[in-house]
Amino acid sequence: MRNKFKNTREVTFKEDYYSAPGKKALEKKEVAVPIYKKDSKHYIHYKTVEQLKEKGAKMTVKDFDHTAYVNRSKKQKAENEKSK
Amino acid sequence: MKRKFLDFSKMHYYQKRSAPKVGHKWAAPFRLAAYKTDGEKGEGESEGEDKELSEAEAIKKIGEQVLSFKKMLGEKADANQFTALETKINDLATSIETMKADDISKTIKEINEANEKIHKQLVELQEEAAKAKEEGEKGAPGKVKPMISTKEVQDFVKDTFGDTEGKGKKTNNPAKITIGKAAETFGYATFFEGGDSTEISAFTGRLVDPTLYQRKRKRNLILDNFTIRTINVPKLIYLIKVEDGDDEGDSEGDSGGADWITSGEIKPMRSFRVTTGEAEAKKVAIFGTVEDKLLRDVSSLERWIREDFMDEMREEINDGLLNNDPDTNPDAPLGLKTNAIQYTATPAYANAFAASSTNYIDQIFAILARMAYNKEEAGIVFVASDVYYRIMHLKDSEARYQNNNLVYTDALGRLFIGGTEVVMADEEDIPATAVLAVARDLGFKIYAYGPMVFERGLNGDDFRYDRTSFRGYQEFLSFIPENRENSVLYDTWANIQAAIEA
Repeated sequence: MRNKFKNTREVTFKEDYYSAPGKKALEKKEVAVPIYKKDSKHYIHYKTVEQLKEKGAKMTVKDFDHTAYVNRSKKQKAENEKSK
Repeated sequence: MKRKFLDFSKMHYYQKRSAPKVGHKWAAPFRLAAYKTDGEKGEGESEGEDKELSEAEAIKKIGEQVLSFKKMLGEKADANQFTALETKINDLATSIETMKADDISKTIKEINEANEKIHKQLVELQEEAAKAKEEGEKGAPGKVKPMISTKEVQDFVKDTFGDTEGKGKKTNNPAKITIGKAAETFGYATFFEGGDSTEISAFTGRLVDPTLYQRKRKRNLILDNFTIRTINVPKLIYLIKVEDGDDEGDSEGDSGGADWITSGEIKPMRSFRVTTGEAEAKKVAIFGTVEDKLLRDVSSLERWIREDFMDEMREEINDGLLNNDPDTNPDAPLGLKTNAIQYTATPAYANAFAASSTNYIDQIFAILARMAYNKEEAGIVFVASDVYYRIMHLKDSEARYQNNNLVYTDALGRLFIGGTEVVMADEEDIPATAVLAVARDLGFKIYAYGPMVFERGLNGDDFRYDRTSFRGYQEFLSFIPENRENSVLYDTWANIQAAIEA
């Protein structure tokens, strides 16, 4: 498998994730935008995932299933061609 | 002998009714006679109403009746007939005392017969009048009652063209009757008769703009920014050097390398292997059929078809070479993003920003650092067009727009950050949530197999149905060696921000 796929993780966040500057802004009751929103799904490199874990992000992590991704893409492509 | 003066038994109802009766309505006979020809009793009549009158009175009544008949018939009354009848009645009235019985009977008979004829004439006249009245109200079967009578038309012709009767004037010019049309102001609403069937531009002239206006197509990220060489073979083989220990975590084998030795010490060994990779040409195509009459009548049509087909193919080429995963669609070439790496923070950037949030410029520098860390030199950073402009108005700590040696726009208006050109792309290619960076000497290679072809010809039944077909196609090959995958980075701004902020 190519690097991209074997190094990628599928991450679902259980709550809004703020970096340190964002948390500071929240403490000061200023406007802060979370980097990752609750219940959002992202594809993140495993090293960045480790960083997030260290910083206390609440999330679920799975390996990126390239086969399932390809199957979904094929299905979507078939549906697109039907609608043409 | 009692003479039978008038033989009422042979008369129709009308005549029986007209038997001398005081107060009888003589004007009613039209209505009554119209449906009383069968001799049945009429309205208001009953048996036994006839009463005995003197002969003189009877003759007088008959005379009055004949006079009324004459008035009813009007112009249609036969003057001679009535004159003869009146003469007979007068003769009978004056000579009845001296006439012989046979003569009286004969005269009476003649008077009766004359009356019958007149009565019949009257009945026919009534029926004609009733029929004409009915047709006037309802119209003849299958026809519409004319709005204008013949006399009205004749009067109009006479007023318009003069009294031509007997003068032998003829004209073939069509006559037109307009009602209520007076002289009017020349205006667009009324000048052009016929409504939509009148082609106004035949009078006014028109200019046709030859441009075929169409939707704006998106930028072609691949074809506009990447060099594509043309080859004349359908298959490409590329050579790969394999050194043991290439893959991360691979501890098996070692290709060896140079090392410092003391004089006379054994020299270190080194070796490597080679392998090949291959890429096959993938074809993009388009096809259409047009009726020959349309091609002949619309002079620009073939040019429009050529331009449209080629634009469509270019869009598809861009989409395939940028996004395609051959595992999903093996008919299309490898896409640039498919084997791109994701961002990971370099040591200098990992959790580096704690005091404040980072912006796009910070994150682009982080990308450039990552690529340099991977021994690649960033050449172009592609961002969504709205991010491009978002970068433009970032300000420094003193609220001044960014304009320093590392962030600037050149004389041509191109944006450079850290010596790398930042190029805007359409949302369909690079969404606002993502960024694409490629190395200056691009590891992703694209080749075209032959030029783009656009041809016309006959397909299937085209000849039979007077049609012409057009086809367009081109083939491309693309690949990226595994050891050059670091030359393409594609990730989301969120992932980069999460990695570089504490």
